[in-house]
Amino acid sequence: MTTLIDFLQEMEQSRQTVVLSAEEVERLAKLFGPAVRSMGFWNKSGDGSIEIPMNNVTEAARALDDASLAQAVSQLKSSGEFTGMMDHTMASRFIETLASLYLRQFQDRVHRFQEASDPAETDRLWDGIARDLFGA
Amino acid sequence: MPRIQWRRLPPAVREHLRDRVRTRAIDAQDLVTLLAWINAEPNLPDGTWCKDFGSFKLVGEGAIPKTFLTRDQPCYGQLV
Repeated sequence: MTTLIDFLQEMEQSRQTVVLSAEEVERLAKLFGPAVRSMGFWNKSGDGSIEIPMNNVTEAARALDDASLAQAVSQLKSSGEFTGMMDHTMASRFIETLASLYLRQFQDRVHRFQEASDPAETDRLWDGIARDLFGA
Repeated sequence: MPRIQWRRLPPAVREHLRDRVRTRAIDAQDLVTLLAWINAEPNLPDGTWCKDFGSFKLVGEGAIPKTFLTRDQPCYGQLV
């Protein structure tokens, strides 16, 4: 039987991503602001989709209790028709957590790039940084 | 407002940016600020503009990014 920890570790190690289509990205950005496009790799020079690391989704979800997570899901599903009247606190918190996780990981990559001594590693890290900054 | 066309950033400028990040002339935190700013899809003027990120500045014209300036080089164009 797989435990929750086993499941989460497997998820983290497989480096899976959740992909949001450009349409979904723009819908969420309209409702929750520009932090939406920093939740993962935004393919700004391509199809406009976002790839969010699965382990980041798991970590952001774990930062909310069950009731808050349920509220966040409900708010994320909202059409925006009554945006001004709705409470988006939990969804905003979830999105902000995802964005800050991804930006922190980006900063870590920059630090590793500055400290790396192996040319191949340096090239690989820069390719990832340039991809994040300028698109695929 | 058109999306910034990062593919039109001259390759030499991109390489120059790499060198300056590598030598820490550009601060990692300022690069994070650049990424968040790019992802916010800022409204930019049609003419020449300049954005100050602390350890570097970005200059562009409309949707086209043109060059990165050092901390000591003065901005030109409209400050954004």
